Amino acid sequence: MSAGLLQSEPGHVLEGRARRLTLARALALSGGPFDAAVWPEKNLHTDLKAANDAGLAEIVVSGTQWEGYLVGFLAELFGMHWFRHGELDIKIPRSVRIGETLQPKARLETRETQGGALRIALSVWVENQDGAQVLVGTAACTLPPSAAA
Amino acid sequence: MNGKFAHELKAGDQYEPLEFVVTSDLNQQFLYCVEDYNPIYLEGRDGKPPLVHPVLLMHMSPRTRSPSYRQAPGMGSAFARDRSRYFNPGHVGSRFRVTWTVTNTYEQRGKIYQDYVALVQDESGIDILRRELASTFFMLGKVKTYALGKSK
Repeated sequence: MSAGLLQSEPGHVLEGRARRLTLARALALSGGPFDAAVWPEKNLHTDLKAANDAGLAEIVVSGTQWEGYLVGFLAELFGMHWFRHGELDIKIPRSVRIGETLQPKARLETRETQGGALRIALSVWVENQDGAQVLVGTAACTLPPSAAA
Repeated sequence: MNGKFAHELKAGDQYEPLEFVVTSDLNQQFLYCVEDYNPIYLEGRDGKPPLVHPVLLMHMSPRTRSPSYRQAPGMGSAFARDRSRYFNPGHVGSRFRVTWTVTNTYEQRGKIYQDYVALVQDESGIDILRRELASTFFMLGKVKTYALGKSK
């Protein structure tokens, strides 16, 4: 559980680790299990021809990849509470190309006590190396009274 | 689903469920995907195996993973919104089951919208992750969307 979530004032921004999205990691996400008979599986996330057949000029990285960056970051912030009480509401406003560097971020919005439990609400986003947001939304997690004390 | 294309399903229809086992190798493949080596995903605690990284469950829960998902020729689909709720951790070595239920469909500006709920449960029937997903279908080559980069 991040001390920043419990001690900071609303408006405080927490930053996850920046990661460069490489082709190898995109293939690992969308190419099927490494031990499949044929790897990577061909689809518009892994194969240029499959992407072209779908009307795309290049392969499109799955948004699950950077949503995964964000959810991993939220699990770091909230610890095990995230896996029992995590809530996330997001949209992906733009696509991401191989080679971009992405960083998940969260801004503390509210910290409210409800019946002894503590509900922490965040604005969340993932931005690229130019500061453009490639995911936007909100997250919240309710901590039981034992953790909120 | 009776052989229907995905965009033909209406509220109340379901895609066929998917079951899968998360091995340590598969979990670590997804840790590599997102460069997240938090020990909770690698080491068991309190007599329980390591946790499954959420990105793996997210990857397995779009409707396209259903054995019955069929996309009509010349049609594309794109994700629009995800509302996720986490209820319990999933553990490496467990078998998971994903079910999909269409909750709403409508047309707007030449696109078909389909909302659905994906529910991931473990082998004991315990809820792990529930996602309310919104998506669009469109004819390829006619509509540019946020997720598709440059149209040809």
